[in-house]
Amino acid sequence: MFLDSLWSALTLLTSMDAELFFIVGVSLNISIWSTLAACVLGIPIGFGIGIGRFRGKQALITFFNTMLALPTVVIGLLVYSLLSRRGVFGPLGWLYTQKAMIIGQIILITPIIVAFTIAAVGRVDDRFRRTALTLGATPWQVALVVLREARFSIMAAVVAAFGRVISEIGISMMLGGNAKGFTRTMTTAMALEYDKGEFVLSLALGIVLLALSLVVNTALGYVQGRTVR
Amino acid sequence: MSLYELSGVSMTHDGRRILDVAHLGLEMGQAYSLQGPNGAGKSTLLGVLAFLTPPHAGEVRFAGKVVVWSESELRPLRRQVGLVEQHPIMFSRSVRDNVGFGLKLRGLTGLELSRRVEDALDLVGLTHLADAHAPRLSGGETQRVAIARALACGPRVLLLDEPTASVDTQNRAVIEQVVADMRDSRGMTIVLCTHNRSQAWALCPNVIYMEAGRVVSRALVNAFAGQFFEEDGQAWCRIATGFCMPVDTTLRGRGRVVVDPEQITLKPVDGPGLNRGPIFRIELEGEQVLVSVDLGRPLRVQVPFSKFRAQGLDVGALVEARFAASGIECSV
Repeated sequence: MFLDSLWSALTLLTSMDAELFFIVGVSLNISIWSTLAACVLGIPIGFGIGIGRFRGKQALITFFNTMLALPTVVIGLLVYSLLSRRGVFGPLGWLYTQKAMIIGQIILITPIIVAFTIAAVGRVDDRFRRTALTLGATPWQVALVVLREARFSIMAAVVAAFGRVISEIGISMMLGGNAKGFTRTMTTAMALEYDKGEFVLSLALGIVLLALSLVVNTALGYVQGRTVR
Repeated sequence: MSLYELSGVSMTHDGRRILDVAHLGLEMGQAYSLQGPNGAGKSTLLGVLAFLTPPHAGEVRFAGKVVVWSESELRPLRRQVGLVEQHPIMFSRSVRDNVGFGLKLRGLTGLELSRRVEDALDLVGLTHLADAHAPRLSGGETQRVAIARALACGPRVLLLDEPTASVDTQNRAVIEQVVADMRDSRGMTIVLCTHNRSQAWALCPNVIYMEAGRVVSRALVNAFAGQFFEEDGQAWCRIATGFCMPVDTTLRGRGRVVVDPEQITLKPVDGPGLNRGPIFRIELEGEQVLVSVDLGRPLRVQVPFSKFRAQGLDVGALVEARFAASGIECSV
């Protein structure tokens, strides 16, 4: 039965099924925009905490580490309460749109990027900072040196965050509503098809998910390999 | 003229005083070797001289001006100093980019940048590795690139923290030659931190000896525990049977003496007696000879090479050590 489903899934993929590609498109759209936004927010915050020497630094690190364990349903509820008709941002009418899903995903993955960036900066050998200083660098130039040396670890954080979003289901379901042609993503579609007992589309989407993960990780490995060669 | 003047500079770490320099002056264009046991505070002092680590107390003057330990004031000073650490780190770029890093920070671009990078690499004999990925270099090559990186910026002061401690003979020879060139041809002020006394004598004859965070007046090669006593109005310190020296002190009982190896003279003798013993080791250190005499305790005597040769001394020869009171420090 599994092999039959797998064969049908591969046929579906090769037949360029419009619905399947629309779902993949929605997933990619949400994942890319939320990852980009989380990078814009998270990398500077993580970098600032990592490189800075100030009171309360450890408390901030603990806060972001705790946020890593934030359940998706809690984020879903929080954003839902803000965007629902009676919520603060209710008049925007964003609930059950891709915008609402992107906001939820940003809340989910920004702590990942912050925490990983802090760790990446913390792992950079202090001699880079000292060497840059002795060569006459300004604090800004020193920061850029540290950022450059931490870049691969930060890129890995971005890849991990992207992977988290594209495979996420709770927020997508609660804030997107799994509306066909609007907010149906790969994971919500897979869940729906599973509920219906239809494995073909589920499997096809699963294959796409794995393939995407492979492409992203291969690209990262290639960039790292080229640079250290 | 003094380039550096340190007064009352001290640093404390975990309640332990790691640097305690009452006074230290470094003259412009002179080469100094910084010596002392591990943990004596040598690297900490280099950090202060490189304007990286502010001292907890005291005053540092550079070129006559008091150093203000604020980031904006320090940057122009740091740009006059090149520091090469014991284990230098390479930025994850090419060798060329590493050497040109400081120059780019100074706004140099194009041909001038390339020329100065090439010159610096030529100085350390690594032009053929200009396009190599710097973190992939061997330990010795990394040291040489680090020296080129520091020298490319044309610093007034070059601080080297044990640059040859973990490199092979070939790389050590190149590094020593570069330091000698800098000292002789560019009039650079050099501070070389090293455990290698021969290297120190050959390259940087002005010795700064550190112990327990303090700069001590001379190398404590002749530090002995002894018994102070008085006889016929003369104070003496007995270190061992047949090893007793006249001292200028009012101390009595057990104590410590430090004898300057440069202020001891040796005289060939025929038979045994007070302060007499055989030579058991002869070491050449640049223009100086370090003679070790067995007086029941090893006594080190530093003699200029010409004088040593004129005396015709050799290992096994029986000699008498004569001490100058001014060359002996007594303490409890």
